[in-house]
Amino acid sequence: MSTAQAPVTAPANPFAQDVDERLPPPSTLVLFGATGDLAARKLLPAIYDLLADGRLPERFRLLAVVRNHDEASFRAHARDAIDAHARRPLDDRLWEALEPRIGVVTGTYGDPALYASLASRLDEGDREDGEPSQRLFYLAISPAFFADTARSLCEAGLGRGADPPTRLLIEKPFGHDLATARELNAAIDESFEERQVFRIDHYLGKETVQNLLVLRFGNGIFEPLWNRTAIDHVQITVAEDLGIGHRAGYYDRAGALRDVIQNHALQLLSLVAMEPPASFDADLVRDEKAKALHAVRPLDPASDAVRGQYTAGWIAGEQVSGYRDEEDVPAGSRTDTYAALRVEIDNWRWAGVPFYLRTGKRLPLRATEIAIVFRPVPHQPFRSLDAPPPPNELVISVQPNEGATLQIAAKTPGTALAVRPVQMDFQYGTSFLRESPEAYERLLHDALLGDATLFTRADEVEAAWQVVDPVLAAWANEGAPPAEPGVGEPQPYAAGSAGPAAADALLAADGRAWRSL
Amino acid sequence: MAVTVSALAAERSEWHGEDVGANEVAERLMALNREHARHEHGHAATRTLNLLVAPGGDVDADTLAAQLAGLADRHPSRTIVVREGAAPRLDATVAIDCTIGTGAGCAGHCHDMALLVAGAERLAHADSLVRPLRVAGLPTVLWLPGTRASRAQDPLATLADAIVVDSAAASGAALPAAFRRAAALDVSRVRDVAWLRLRRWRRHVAARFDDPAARALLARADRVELRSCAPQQASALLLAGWIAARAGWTIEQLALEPGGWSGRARRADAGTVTLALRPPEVPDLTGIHALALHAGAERIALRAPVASPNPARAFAAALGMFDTPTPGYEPALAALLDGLGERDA
Repeated sequence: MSTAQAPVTAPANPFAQDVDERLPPPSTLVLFGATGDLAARKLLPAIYDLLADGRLPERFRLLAVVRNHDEASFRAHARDAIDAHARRPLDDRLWEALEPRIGVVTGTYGDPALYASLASRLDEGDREDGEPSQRLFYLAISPAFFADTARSLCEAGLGRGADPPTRLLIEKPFGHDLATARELNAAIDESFEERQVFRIDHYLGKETVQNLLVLRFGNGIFEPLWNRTAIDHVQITVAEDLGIGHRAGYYDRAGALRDVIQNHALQLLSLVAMEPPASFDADLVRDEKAKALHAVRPLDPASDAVRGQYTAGWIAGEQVSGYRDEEDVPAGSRTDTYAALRVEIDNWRWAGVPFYLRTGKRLPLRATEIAIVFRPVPHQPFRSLDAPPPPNELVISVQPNEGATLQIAAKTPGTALAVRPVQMDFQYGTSFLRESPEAYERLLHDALLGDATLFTRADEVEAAWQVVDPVLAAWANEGAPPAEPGVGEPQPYAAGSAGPAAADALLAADGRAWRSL
Repeated sequence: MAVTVSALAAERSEWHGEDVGANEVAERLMALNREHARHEHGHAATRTLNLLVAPGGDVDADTLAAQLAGLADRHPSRTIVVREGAAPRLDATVAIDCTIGTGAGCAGHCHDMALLVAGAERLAHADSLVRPLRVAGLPTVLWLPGTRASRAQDPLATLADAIVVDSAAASGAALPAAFRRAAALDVSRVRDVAWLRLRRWRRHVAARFDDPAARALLARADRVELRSCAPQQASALLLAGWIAARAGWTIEQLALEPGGWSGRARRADAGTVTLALRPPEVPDLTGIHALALHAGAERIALRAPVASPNPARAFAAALGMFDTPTPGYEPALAALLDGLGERDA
């Protein structure tokens, strides 16, 4: 189409009012780490599934930053990854549409020539399309390269102030502790404005996590109860039955507290604890989440935290090794494969309501859930009962069965008065039989649209590190003899058990118990 | 009255009765559900809507059954089918079908349905037949398969939050009647599958006209050409009607000619836009293949949005949007009816 005679101004788009979802503007996604595991298992399949859903812009390009591939071999690699991991079967017609949109740029991250070459390729693509496209840089690479890569992009004119606009997508871990997180944020801030930075915690892309906001703020029955008056305590569990696989190199440096609690679990906590935002504007939501994290009372590592490490045991009828016997784990490692925290939030809504957080490897099953445990009734009128009715619980299951369950007390049939807990179930799998998009589909699409609501802001990241930093510091005191129980040495727990006894004691001290796994 | 109760099987429970009352049917359905709940099937009896189905006389039972089976995979509804029978009595079949979940993250689900076959007199009061059978508190969707109206249509429409039709069930010279039928219903509640299939096309068009230069060309457009396969004529016409309505054009003439649908619209500045709906350039292509807007020598060409072809699920996906407002449908339909001279018919 010729645009030479187009006027400078034009009326508003008359068709925009009738579409349920806008398509992103013309975009080029530059994928660093394009041959890595995350790209193969999640990112390339997500791009394909977005295309299959008709949610990619007509002018979309994927540029893979590679070292040992040419265009043909990378396309073959991408096809295999999509075939193996996409939600939908690989469809030849769709692949034929996607394949020509995939290109490669060759080089190493430390080489300035790579970024010059990249900038040139991006401009070339725009010239071919006849219009500029926004550029998104997804760093699916080691966090050690985040700052330097961001700087190199900026030096190539692709960071702060870039035209066409650019965005930087990075995935946790954002630092190793509060100090390094601040360093990373500062380094990235030199190259990209905060509004250009999209920090991914893929939990936030999960349907149930987003549903938590709808559950809280879209249902009149819950929010009036969502406070210290009605809620006794909250339990957040991220349990995994798997061990560390081949990730010992990373995991032994990180541990459960860094790997899960600092990000996923505290993100869930902030969504449960946040005040209602005035609207679902990205910054308003993130302001409220950050405020909740800032209200967390400083933890006492001795009394508020438990760390554990699995020993040999049995899971699902299979015998499994202890952590120290896993491949590449250093002998005598004190890394936490289990972490539990008791967290208090010092504000009007949550004063006196503990949040118990736990995560672990080699637990009996894979389950991520948030349990809101309500206070018992103030007066027990059923004098003939041996025990009071169990408390109401609202359990929001994030995985594997996405949904929510409300536990209420009901009279069992018969002439005698007996009460038993019953469950009212909502499962995405049965109420909405359509498939949910994968978390990465949602997050990539939001990033293409520039919607940062489900991404973590720098101050949120730092606030979360602030919560766990005292515990990390105490646990890092390797070599020193344990000063107090629970400090210094991880508590052993058998693989397949629900965690160390000290974690049970953490709740028992408050007269409570973990939900069973 | 003959009644048969099958033994409860893992997958299906069924009851059939002849010359029965609606309340008895409701009791049987409830009894089946109670009996079913006693068995551990690993499924949740979750329903999200009441689906009333009033097929026209041109819809055969096998075709409808196949479509309903596809729907059950996506929408855990209570389905109530109301058909016209020759005898002046009510015959009914109620059934529960289950999919058993296996493994973590793979929940089973069940789906119950009632088939009511009633004489013409009862059908005229079909709302009273289905009221005892609906799940209270859930939205009610009325689906009208086929091109001919059932006698149950109007009484059931009084119960419906949304009315699902598919103008694409008609083609060629029968299309004006399909559009007229949709327009005769309460259009704000109508979810026309032919329109819902345009979801991606509408996103595509809206994205293209984000460009001010494209909008400027729209104001000078003198020809719109759509390439579409025959089964998608209804959708293609609705797309043309939508573009015309939102561009501020009035369709003055629209007719089926030997080469396809052709018409003429008047722009706000009194300029003329010719409309043409033609077969695809490549015979094997399906759906709406291409859209071109011309303004003299200038042109905007849009190809079909690339997306997963999944015709088997298209209807179920469309039904899933029953609670989604369709703000562009009414003006698109009105523009078409203007062109067809059917607005007040």
